[in-house]
Amino acid sequence: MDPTTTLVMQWVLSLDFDVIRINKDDPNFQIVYLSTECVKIKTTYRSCLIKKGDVFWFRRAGAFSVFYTGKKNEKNVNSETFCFLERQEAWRALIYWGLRFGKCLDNPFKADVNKLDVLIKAEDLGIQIPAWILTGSRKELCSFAEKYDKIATKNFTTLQYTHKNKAVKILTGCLFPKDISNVPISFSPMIFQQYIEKKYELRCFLLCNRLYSMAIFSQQDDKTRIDFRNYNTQNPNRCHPYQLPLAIEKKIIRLAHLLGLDTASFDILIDRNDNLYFLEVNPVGQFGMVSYPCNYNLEKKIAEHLVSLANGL
Amino acid sequence: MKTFGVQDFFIVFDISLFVTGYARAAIYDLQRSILQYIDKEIYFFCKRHNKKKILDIISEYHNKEDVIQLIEFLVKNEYAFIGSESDATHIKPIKHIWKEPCLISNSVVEFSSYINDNLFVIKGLVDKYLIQAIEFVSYTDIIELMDIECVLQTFANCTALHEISFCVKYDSELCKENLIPVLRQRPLSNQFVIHSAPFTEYIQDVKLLYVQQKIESFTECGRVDLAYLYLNKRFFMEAREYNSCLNRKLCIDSKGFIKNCLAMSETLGHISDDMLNFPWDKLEKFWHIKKDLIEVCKDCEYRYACQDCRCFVKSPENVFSQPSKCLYNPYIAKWEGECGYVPIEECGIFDNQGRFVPDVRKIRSSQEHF
Ligand code: SF4
Ligand code: SF4
Repeated sequence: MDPTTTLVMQWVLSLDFDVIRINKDDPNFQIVYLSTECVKIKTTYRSCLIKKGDVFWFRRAGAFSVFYTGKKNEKNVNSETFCFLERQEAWRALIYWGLRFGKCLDNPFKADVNKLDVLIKAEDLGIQIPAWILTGSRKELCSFAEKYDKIATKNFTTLQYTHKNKAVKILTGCLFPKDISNVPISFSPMIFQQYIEKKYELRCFLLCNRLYSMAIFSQQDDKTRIDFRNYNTQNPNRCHPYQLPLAIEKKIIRLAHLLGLDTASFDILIDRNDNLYFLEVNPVGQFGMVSYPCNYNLEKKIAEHLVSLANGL
Repeated sequence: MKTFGVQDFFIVFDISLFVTGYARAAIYDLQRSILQYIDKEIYFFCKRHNKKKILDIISEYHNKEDVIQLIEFLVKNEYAFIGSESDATHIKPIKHIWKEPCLISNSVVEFSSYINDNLFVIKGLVDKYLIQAIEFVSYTDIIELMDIECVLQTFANCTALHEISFCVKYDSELCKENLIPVLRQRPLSNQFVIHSAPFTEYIQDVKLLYVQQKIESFTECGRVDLAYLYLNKRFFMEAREYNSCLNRKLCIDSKGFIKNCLAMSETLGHISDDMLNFPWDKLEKFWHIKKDLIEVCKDCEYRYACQDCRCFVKSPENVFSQPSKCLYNPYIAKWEGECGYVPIEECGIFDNQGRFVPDVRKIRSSQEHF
């Protein structure tokens, strides 16, 4: 079970509020009944009556619905998939109920952002981003690449797929202009960006209009040069609390509002000349990895926020 | 020789993780769980020059080559980095606060048939005080498999509790064929140690450990040894503010008496008592005795990684007395058994209030022939 959630729950309890965790993969999860007034649910550990005005925190509830949209249009599915999809719809009904009658932190239906949309919105707000192009043609890519030494590739989704029985995680990659001849003439369109040589990276977690930032120093170590998610567990990157300049902080928070996000994690890069580039936003940001090394106690702050929602503040 | 630019700043990642003792200092590399020993001069160098221009620092010294080497060593090991003025302003130190969402964070319960009959009372305490971790120990009595299942079931739906561990004596009924299915069913169980076993084995997925060592009583607790150091952020932050063993701990002995620690004889109450009258002040009396207050330990570079035993201490009449089982002498930076080790008594004197006063002459002479 996700330890960050556990910690948030403990904080909620310590603030004298009751809390129930619903795991979407809980085999015993059941909606006993649902009306406009209340919902009665049952999980492996307990049952509970949720009333109008109760507080919901949708933690990673969104990833689920994204994951299965592909199958939804299939007409003939086997009975297992059918039950699964039915359950999923019931699950979504609960989310809609929460959004309509409850007070919520995070809207799972807004968690599904489009990378291009984010880039354009960021540019509009005057946030610096690396030069980009969205293309599916080698010719276009070539002329874009001519302008830069190196190019970063970026795909739209953050899923992983299976290739030869091994899970392939798609991370941000790096492309040299000389490699472009290996690229097919036409391919599924994706975003390419100017590759920026970084001094360090920032991971900034947004909560209640405040950004909690962490600097990640990974340049020393070749394994993580391009993408911090290529973890190096033997020698973890140095992580450190960081305070963004206030003017940029404001713009980033503005961007989150435009995207309808209550909490999110932003990736930012600082280059050798102290320029700051916004890379992307992760709407279901993992804040544990920012909170723990920096000692931000974000779990407590989330709990306090949930409680203040419950108190109608 | 590396050359530095005029705008290069020397930035120490976190100066607060540099801890100095009497004889040497250490960098608490909590992210990597290692302790890097350094000379005290390096400690003072970093403290003094953090976030200054490198060229200005170098110009202060005659032995420029050494200074550069030192800076390079710190950068290479990622304890410091060379950045711009903007980096120096935006990189912030870690805030030293320790926060836990509970009144009692952990509990050790001496298992017995009495405890087994009163599990629901203990569960009441767990729910009331949001206890996060509970450990059941039994050193001489045999626990039956049924009792273990019963414990796991009773505590299965305590919202705050996320760790149930056991340390019990071996019995043929507690073989892995019987235990593994039980533990798999209840993912809450954390560590399951079986002592006095005829063999040694570790089953990783259920964290089940058989050891041959016999653990017969609580008097074995409280050891201070290199192997017993805790190098993590949580421990560090807690140890800076609170007692690193007894803070928020509540123990219950086999007859249901509540204690600070099972090795202590003083009882504070009984689980069947009304907790409204519970003497919280007695339970809390050790909580604020932090390492920085303890004689000798306050001069020791291990002080934020070392569990502070309040049960076995050198002079029980002094509340700030050093743990008696400590095998380290911070005045000469040596562990017992190391060449040149002498006990701290040979490095100074205890004054009439039990305070330790190091004696530079004695320390020097004890180390001279090395
Ligand atoms: S006070 Fe000493 S004996 Fe008691 S639990 Fe702590 S280390 Fe063990
Ligand atoms: S002197 Fe001994 S007991 Fe005290 S902190 Fe150092 S190692 Fe631990």
